Amino acid sequence: MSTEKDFVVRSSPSLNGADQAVFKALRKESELSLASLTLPSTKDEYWKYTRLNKLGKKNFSTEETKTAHPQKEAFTERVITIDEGHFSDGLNEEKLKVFPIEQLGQFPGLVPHFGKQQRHNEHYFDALNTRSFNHGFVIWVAQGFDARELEIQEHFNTESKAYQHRYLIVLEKQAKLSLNHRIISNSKGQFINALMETVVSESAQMKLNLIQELSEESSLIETVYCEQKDNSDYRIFTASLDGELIRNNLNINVIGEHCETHLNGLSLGRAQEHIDHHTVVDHKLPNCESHENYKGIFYDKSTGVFNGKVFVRQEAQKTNAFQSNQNIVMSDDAKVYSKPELEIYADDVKCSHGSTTGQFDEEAIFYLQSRGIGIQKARSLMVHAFIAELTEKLDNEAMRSYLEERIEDKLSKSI
Amino acid sequence: MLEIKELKAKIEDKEILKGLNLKVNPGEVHAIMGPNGSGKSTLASVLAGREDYEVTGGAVDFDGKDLLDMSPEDRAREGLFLAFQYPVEIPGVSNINFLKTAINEIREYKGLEPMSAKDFLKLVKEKKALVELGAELTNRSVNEGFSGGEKKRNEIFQMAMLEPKLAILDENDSGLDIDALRIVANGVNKLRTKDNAVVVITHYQRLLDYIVPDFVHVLSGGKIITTGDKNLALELEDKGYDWIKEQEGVS
Repeated sequence: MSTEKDFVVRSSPSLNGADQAVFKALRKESELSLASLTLPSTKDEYWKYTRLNKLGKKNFSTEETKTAHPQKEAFTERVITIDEGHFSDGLNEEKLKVFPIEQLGQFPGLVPHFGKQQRHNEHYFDALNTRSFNHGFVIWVAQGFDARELEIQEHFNTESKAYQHRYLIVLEKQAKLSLNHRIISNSKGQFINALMETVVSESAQMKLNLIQELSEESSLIETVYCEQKDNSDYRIFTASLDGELIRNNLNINVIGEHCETHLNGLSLGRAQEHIDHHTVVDHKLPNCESHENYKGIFYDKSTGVFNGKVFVRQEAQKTNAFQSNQNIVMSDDAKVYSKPELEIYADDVKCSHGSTTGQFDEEAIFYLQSRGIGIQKARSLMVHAFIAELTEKLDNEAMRSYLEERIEDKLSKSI
Repeated sequence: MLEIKELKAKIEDKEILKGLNLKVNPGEVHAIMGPNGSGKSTLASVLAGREDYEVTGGAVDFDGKDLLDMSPEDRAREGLFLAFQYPVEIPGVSNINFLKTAINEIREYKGLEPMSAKDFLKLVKEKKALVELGAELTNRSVNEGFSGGEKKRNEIFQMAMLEPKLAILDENDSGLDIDALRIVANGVNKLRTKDNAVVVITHYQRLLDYIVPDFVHVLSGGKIITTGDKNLALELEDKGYDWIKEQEGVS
């Protein structure tokens, strides 16, 4: 028990300006939960393929420092930069607000949404985050307002530092938002535990692009909760590009009818990187559809994990749920664990799932070579073809070409 | 242009080519015929540089260079082209992007600037007319969902785009109806010049009515056992391969 307790202390920064009364009760409950929860191990089914031993032993600094970070070109015009948790500028418009989570208490209408979806009783990292978060953001979009595209760049700059960040996004009825949330870690040995709660109200539409770029020896646990109400549309795309360990937990709770949900993910592992996607889509009501498509490419000694679960509850008739996970392993030492799961309790549904893991078609590579295309270029064409299904769906041209460049770059380092 | 001397090759300990000799000069059309398992497709694969085959003896000179010493892509860049018996489907790579990449990789090898988009499109338009390939096929993924005939026409389209010195057609007549056969053969004929050469590998004489060879070779047991003119193909069609094996004393 002592080591778990110790990990909580080691990975929790001081609350500083984040000890507001609105968080107090939940923090206390989470503290209690942590007394009985343990750092997950491979004995837990949910963490079977993702080892946290190394992370559990690391020492972290939790001090507040301000350091410069490299500029990253934004994918869109409107950008908010958050540096070590500190905002550049928020947005305080009548119909769109973006502000630090520490100020949540000033918006009583939003307070009831906070902490509603996270499960501190069950999940260690939920409890840890809820107990210890000290920074993060809140986005609120007013009823019927189209907030268009917004980018939030979060820079993590201090070496060997632990971060606990928290986000709350509320879209009122018929609101629209397209958010690019970029987690950029600029120093090695970091641990980031990030948790997002999202409310997508009736007929609202949300697109979330999570771009995760970690520095060497850094780990990220990113947990996203989303509650979808009637006629809403939620689309998440996660690009996990670098990191010693990345664990994504996605929990989509579809509590309305006629909803559409899209979950797409791209993993690119090299060296000894470990990239894990755990997703849950829970269809509780009829006439909804969900589409899930995760693709991974794994070089060297990297590991990919996919566990996608779709529940179709008894009431959720006429659900269409599709799930696919495809992986390419580029070396004999790369590993992939893929487990798509469907749990269906309704009888009038259309559901399918599939998973494939393999190598590139050598015959196709030879065909390209036989037309004068060099082996490197041939492999790169094949990689781009493999992920095209995902990248073609991105409507932001700048993001698409950035991802393609990063993939190209990673490719050249791995072959 | 191409000189093969005493070529020996095996696949998984099975020797298939057992000392093959062949000389091809610019402007010539050679047909290689022979029974199943005689080594026809192995010859094509070895020349194109397929890894599964191990060359155990002999030499291949291609325009003064050691062909066997080159990677598959360098062979193509030097002007060798293999039209596949079974063209490969590559989902996600568009025909156009594929050809543009190929042309520019070849140009880079030769120290030339990449081709401009305008010149490239002009070339595509000109060459696809040769094999009556529709716009919808050139825009799709490489060979994906193409019919057998479309795949073979696409091979000749690629050949037209890359303008090789030496084209090897590996059973490009198999599975083609008479109209598709005519289109494929016409495409090849229109691409012939005094400076390039074609090696046609086929089971049947039929294709040779359209692509008229200067030489017909019979490959059997891993060697060329006889060589003649186009009449040899007609005679083979008539009498079968056993006749020639008997004549040459090969069992």
